[in-house]
Amino acid sequence: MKRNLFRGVLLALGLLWAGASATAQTPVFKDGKYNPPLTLTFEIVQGAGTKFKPGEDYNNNVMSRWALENFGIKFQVAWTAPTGEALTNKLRLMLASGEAFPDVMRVNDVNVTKDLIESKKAKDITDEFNKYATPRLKEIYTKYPEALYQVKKNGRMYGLPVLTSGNVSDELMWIRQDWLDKVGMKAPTTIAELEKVMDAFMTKDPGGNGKGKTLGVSIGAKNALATWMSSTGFLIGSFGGVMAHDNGWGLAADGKTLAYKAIQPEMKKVLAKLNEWKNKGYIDPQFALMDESKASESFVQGKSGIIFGPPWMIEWPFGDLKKLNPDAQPKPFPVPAGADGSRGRFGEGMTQGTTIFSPDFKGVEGYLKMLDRWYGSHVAYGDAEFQYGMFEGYDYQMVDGKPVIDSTNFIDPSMYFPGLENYPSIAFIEYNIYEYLWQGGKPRNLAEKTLLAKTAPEKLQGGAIINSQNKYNMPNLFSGAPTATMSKKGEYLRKLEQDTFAQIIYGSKPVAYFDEFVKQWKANGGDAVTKEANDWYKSVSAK
Amino acid sequence: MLLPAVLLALVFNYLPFAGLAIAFQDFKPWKGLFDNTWVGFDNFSEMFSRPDALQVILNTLVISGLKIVFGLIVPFVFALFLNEVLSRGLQRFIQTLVFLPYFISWVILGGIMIDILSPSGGLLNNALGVFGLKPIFFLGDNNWFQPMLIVTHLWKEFGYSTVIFLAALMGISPQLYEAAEVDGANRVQQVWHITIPGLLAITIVVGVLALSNILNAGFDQIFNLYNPMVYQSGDVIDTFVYRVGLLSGNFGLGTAVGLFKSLVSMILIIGAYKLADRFAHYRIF
Amino acid sequence: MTRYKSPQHRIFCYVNNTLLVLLAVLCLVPMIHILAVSLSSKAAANANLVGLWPVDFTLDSYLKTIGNRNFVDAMITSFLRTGLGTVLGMLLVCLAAYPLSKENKSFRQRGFYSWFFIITMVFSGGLIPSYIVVQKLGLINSLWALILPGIVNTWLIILMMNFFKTIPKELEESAHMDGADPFTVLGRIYLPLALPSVATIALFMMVGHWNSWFDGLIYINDAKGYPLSTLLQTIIVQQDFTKITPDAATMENLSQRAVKASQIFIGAAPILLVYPFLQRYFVKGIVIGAVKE
Repeated sequence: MKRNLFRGVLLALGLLWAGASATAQTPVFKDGKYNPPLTLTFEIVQGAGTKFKPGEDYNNNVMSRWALENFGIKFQVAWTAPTGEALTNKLRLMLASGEAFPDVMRVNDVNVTKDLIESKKAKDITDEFNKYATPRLKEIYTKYPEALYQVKKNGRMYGLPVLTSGNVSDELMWIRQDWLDKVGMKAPTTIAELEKVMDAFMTKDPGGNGKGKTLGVSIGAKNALATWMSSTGFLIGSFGGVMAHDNGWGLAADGKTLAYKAIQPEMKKVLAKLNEWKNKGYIDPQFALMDESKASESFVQGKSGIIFGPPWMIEWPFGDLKKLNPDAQPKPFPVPAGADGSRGRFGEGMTQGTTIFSPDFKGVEGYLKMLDRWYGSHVAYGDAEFQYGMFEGYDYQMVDGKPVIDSTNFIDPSMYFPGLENYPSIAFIEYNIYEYLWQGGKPRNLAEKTLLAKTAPEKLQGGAIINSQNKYNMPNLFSGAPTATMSKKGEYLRKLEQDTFAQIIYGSKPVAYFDEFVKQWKANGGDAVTKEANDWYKSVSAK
Repeated sequence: MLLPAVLLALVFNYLPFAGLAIAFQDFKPWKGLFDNTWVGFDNFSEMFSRPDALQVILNTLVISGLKIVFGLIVPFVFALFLNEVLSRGLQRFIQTLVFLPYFISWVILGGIMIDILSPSGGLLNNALGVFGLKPIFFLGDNNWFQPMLIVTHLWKEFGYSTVIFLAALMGISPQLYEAAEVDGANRVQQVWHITIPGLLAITIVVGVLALSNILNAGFDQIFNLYNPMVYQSGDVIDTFVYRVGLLSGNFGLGTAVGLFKSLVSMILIIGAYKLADRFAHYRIF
Repeated sequence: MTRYKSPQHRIFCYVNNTLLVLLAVLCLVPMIHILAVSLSSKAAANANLVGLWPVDFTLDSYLKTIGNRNFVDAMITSFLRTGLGTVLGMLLVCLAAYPLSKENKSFRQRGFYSWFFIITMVFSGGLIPSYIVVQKLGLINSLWALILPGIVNTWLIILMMNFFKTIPKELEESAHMDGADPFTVLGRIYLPLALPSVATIALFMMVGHWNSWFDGLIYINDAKGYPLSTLLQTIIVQQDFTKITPDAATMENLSQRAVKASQIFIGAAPILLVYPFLQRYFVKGIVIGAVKE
């Protein structure tokens, strides 16, 4: 209680002080710096990955000192939430209770972004962006128009998208090279060859699991067939058609309108194939109730030699595999092609949430300048300031004039950056550099040199493979907030879909039932959803 | 003496009831509780017009109804038998051990159950295999899924619920037993004529109060165990509301469903209260 | 207790003891599995290779949780909230249950108040209005936000009231004749007589406070002020459904099965330590017999 009282007194004093300073001069951005310093309040996800040096916190750390020194911006955390979900919850509750929002907000939910814009709690930054954003920032943010869909309304810009790397979590094929060697086979390039390898792994048992204890491929379908790991996107893609997702939107054959993948005729063939694989024992009988991580366990345990997922799997979960079995050699390969040569893979989207500014925030100019300089830490630019990494003593140490990563004392300062909470990303650049380096290209700057030194060869190779297969990346093209019918019927339609697919794969319904499903899907709101998705697509792609 | 509880309930329970208005609105959080668009019973009809509405409600009722019934019987019987253990040390030891599973969250337990119940090498199926039985896909079979939910729920919770019955057992006056012994009643007769009637009142109370959860079938458990294979038998009101919320953060629907659940509970509680009053002459509250 | 020595009864005792012990073992085995996981290396635990014995024994998981910089603060917050919440809550429960346990004729509005409380048990305004109430009262970030909103626990009031009902009325009447006021009757007669029930209800209340984590997440704005259960929830990031595609670092963190397992023990230990202590009050009839003589 005493502590609360103490806090109250502090708060009162703080208010007095704030009142006093309000009468003082307002911060002006001059010569690249606010004078006097501008206070920037923000909310942030303080996850388990966020670490601080002793004595440091959000208001005082290497990043906040950097911002204060270089831009006269004083970080002040308003509140934290331990997970993205909790952050979204809190923002919703604040919307309802009418509390004041922080200056800069990291929003990770489409609906909340939409709500903030609609309720006029998001600042229109169109003019400031046009006036103050550096050419570098303008290129990054406007190169792919679809990245801005979430923050745009009537042609105005109400925040910045938080960009992903475009393909960092895209799907490729991981195979145990040591198993391939034991059975004397090469990595498959087609689905037919893949089936032969699965057969060999199961019958010849290179892992020594005992008869009937080896799976063909580790897949999990609890959340979706095509997903970020233990994915079946490659199989969907191998039958051609609009995309490699089960629950997403791709371009229809006309190249102009959106179509929902799960009701396309190719999907029927996918289900027939999975039913066949299920009967042959290629996949775990419980795959329908396994999520991405649970399904990957069989690979880590050495009970399966094939799994589909992103290049970073070499760090996790294969890090555990290597510890348990040092001889295991998972190697990345391109996704195999279907009978007609079609390929496709699960693709991640362009954005993961948004950065929203409160309407009263006066520091957009400074924030943009700061963001630009922060983008200099991206390997694509490798600005001198960040040539070895972010900050010495945090994400790298200097030993004998060389940058060294000390994984036990690794602290990631990018987690402190307001509104971003991550290192900056640029679409489709990172794996481009991986491919260049994998093919033997000499590092063009120190950042690339550092990258080469610290990246596992399998990940580098995986990145190169992903980059060379970029044309097969078919992400979900619908990135707006759910439309009216989606909100009302979307959940039921998805349930209908997952239910039907599971029944067909497990054989309790014939493959022909798929046609009945399509009919039901359309009748129960699917047609309306398709129309609304296309209306949205027209409205955003018009300009 | 009631004043503090009444005041606190008014502030923290009754005041928020204003929020039930959301059930009749197309609720946008920033507009405040009373300035939203009123949509009448749209949120309710959205729930009931789903082709699977009946199935979902039925699943909920069956799962949670069976959980309530067995959740009374099992701890009741267990407490009776535990009471017969003569060594007090052993009694407490057993009581402590069966209390343990209560603390395991379903996130962890879900993974363990998936392994134990797996048709390929799961513990249970291996055991059945000894008797020459074919492996059963417990969590992927609509005939098995609900029983599995009930059994695993009971296993996790019965130790905790037992405490109430043990407390009630302590409340039975020893003089009753002494008098019965004088009359020549044996142990079984004593249990039948004194112990069980002595526990009846508290059993009715716990049972009736449990009705307030009649439409909560246990979200954490089901969410961690269900899958598209068993939507037919395992999809319940809370899992469906969760999926809707995940998609669109639909507050109106969520509140409407909550209100519906409360109304059903209230009606059942009033009914049970009247029944107990009339037939057992016992006023629960 | 030593009155039944017939051979049938002896056989019954053996069978009964054996069955109950088996049942207890059935509850213990998964716990041992989780303990083994919590003491195993990260790789073995994540690959799901641990049975009932730790693989590559290590205490890392426990150190990781206890080494969290907010751990001690959270422990204190949890103890404060559980202690204060249980004391205040019990006070409230007893004060409310006592008048409600009276006959309708001696307390005319009894029916009204019973239903007044039942309604709070069945109906709920939902998260948004509850949050607004707490926020408008200025309780955000304070310990009271974790105690007050759920302090009126109808379920426990009704339970307590029913335990009170079993206490013979004559005792109270004789006390009244000696000039005792209701508070004295409650404190001197009801509470001592209903001790096993008071212990039970206190246990329920403590477990409830100790385990509850969602309120901490919503009403506390800073990890420093979290109660332990909320902190434990956050040491391993919960699966974040807002991110469609996670990355290696996030997943690495998310999938630390050994840490999750250790948290069960860290989280449950205080309650399990208190439990045997409370069991002392589950002593059959001694008090009642003593008073009646």
